Amino acid sequence: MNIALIQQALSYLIFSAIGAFVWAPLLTKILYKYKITRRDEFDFTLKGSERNKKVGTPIMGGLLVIITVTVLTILFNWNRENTYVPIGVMGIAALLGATDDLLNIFGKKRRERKISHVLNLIKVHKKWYMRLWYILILPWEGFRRFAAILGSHPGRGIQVHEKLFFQFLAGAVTAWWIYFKLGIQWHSLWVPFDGQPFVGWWIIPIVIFFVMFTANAVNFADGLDGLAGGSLVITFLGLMIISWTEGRASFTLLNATVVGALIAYTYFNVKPARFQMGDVGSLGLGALLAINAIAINRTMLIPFVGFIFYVEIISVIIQVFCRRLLGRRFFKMAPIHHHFEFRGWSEEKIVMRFWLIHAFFVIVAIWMSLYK
Amino acid sequence: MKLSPTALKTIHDYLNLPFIGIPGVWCPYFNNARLGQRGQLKVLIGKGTPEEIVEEAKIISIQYRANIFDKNGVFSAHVDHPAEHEQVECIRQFLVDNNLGVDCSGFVTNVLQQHFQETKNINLARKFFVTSKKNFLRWIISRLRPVEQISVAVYANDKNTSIVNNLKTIQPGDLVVILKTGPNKNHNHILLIEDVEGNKIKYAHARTWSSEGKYGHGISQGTITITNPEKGLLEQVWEEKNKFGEENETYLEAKQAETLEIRRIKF
Repeated sequence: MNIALIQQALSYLIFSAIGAFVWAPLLTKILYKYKITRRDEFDFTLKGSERNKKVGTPIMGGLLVIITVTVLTILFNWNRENTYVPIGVMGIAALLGATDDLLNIFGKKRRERKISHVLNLIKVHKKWYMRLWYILILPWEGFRRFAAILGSHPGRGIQVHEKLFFQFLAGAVTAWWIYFKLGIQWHSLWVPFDGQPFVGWWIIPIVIFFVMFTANAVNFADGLDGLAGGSLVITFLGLMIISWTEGRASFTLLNATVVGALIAYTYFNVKPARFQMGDVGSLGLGALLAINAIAINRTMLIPFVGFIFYVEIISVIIQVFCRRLLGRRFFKMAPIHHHFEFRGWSEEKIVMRFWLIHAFFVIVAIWMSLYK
Repeated sequence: MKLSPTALKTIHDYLNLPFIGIPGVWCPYFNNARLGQRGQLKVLIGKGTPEEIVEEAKIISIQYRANIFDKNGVFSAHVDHPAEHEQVECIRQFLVDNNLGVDCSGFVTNVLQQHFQETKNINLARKFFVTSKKNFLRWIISRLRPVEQISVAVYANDKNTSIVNNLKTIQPGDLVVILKTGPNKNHNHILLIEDVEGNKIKYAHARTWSSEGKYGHGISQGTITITNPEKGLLEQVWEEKNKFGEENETYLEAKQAETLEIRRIKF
């Protein structure tokens, strides 16, 4: 075991945590100053009497982690081969999330257009080039409509189809990096207890899928005070240990930096939250989680290191499936943490139980990762 | 002969939605035709059971902070509405404003589902012919969401029901099918025969009367007194909410209809 590496990683962790703690009040002040706070008119999540207290809480607190990690990595852990792309993709996803957060507060309500409307425009628009334009954008409009059916509320922010498009872009960048830049050994996929079967170019869709799925999964989990933050601390701690056992120095240090910043974030995010993560943090860190696992060739462990996030997103998929196809609710409300709130569980009880379950599965992931 | 106890209980539940501690909230009428929502929850397109309507009302109340119910589902607006009738009105207004209610075919289907399940162990919604396999997509949807696909037209289909010609032979579970009615002859309606006692036929249905405004509609019961069995249904005495003749809008709908039939389910 490389003790020097873990010593260095823990130093990064401590330094990152201290750094984040130091500038957290500044971030809070900025968020309050520019009124980047939670408002009830666009918030469609559970709104029981307990939740009224969350109105007015700053969002985009995830910036604390994103900025701390980016700055420290650029200063102390920057290398083209390892940290360049993870930080870049995290940046793309975080930018997407930040845009969504800001539009949700300051934007206008987005217009919904039905396919039949576009088809009508193709038929009746008086300008031929506009008719041609509507024909060209018809597949995109179809995708948009499909995404709108899957999502429940268009709101003001970035719409589902736009999010999926940019997340696909982030996934594609990661896949390009893995497939073309990291070498032939990354064309094999590590499978627990089953060696490393060669998958060739199939690694590209696999990577895109995991990046998109995981980013959204973390996004769904960001619904209760401390849930996403605490779970991410456990996840990145697990990834840090796995990277360390694999001897991947840059990723051990990167994960340690994330854990440090997340500790500071979660300190301020536990109930009653001083600020909330927002899409800027959840999408960015979700993408980083996937990339860091993929980059140490532990892609198949993502459902374990991100267990609670996957439970959350699968609950949403089941709910949408049942709602649209069978016309009934499977859960009282999705994501699943809201279901338990409806069952009368307190927020603290849900969060702590989810943390524990998540920690157990991260330990399982670490155990599995040791089998070559 | 009567409807089965669970079917009668379902009617009772529609007339007194099972909200904790608030009796007398009768289910409003809601028809999805105006909004045309697709792929929506069964309960939000006028096909829900009483339990589903109550559950959805609680979820919507908490989700959209209407403060009508607390998280245990108990009515929590007592202070604003101290009298019981005001509480009922408050809940009914909330239901109507949130498109929670049942349409005529949804009501009949949910009641008869219980009746056939209890008496013949038949899942009525699955047994009905909705469409042939030639229309594959619609057939698949009718398999996945059977109750939502059952309209008045399905009840009027000879594959599912047969016409009862003799008024003397009417029995509980029979249906009064009203096709192409209203001033524009563009909607259908259905009544469920709930009980027959001598010459009195008691029916229940989900309806909306223009005279009752935005919040007055819902599940209702009425009677048809057979005064002359040799004549048609319109020649008998219709009474609902103490209204007779054309004041009784159910009778008026039956009168305006292009087709008025009594039908019996074949299964």
